[in-house]
Amino acid sequence: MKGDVDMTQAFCAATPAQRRHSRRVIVASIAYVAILIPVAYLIHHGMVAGPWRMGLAIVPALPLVAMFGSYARYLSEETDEYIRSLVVRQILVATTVAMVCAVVWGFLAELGGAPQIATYWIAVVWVAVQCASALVHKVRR
Amino acid sequence: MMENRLRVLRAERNWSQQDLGERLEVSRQSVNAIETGKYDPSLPLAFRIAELFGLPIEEIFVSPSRRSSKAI
Repeated sequence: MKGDVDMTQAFCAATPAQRRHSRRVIVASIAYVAILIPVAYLIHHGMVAGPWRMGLAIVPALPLVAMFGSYARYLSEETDEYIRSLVVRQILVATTVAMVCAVVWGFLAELGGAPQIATYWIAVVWVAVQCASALVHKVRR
Repeated sequence: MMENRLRVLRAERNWSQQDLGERLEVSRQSVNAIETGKYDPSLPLAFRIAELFGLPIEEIFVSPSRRSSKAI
């Protein structure tokens, strides 16, 4: 029977909204790396100081903000309700894990003497869990 | 989850899951998930399916309450 279970197609298939989201994430990732390296160099070598330093420090965050904005845009663009429900579930899992990590580590650092960690690691955990959750779904399917 | 006759109706027309997905404007994964009972479609999608096959919804999807009453 034609194409009931085509593994290549099953693995590579993506909706138009997913393809647009992937393109936006790739562009944001490239922009992040391209911005982070010179900004880190300038700041670590003391070439920028005062309010300029604060302004410059926020610049590498902007592509990541755009990346999270892309998730919101993706959810509003996705017309395939089943795929959207899967992504919403992955986002719920990622949000739960990231928030639990943030709260637990916050108390460990504040009361337990554990080292303070930059808050952007919450976003790293969120993205990692979301990707892992998507991967688990693909493998189980 | 609701049982349904989607796989049978699709097979009668010799359509692949991809063909049906294109007609319904959803992914092949969505068709597969509905057929295997992993996902219950929304009411608008259930109506689109019913209209595509020219059947009432209840002839494609089995009400969970009716299924359990039959079992009794």
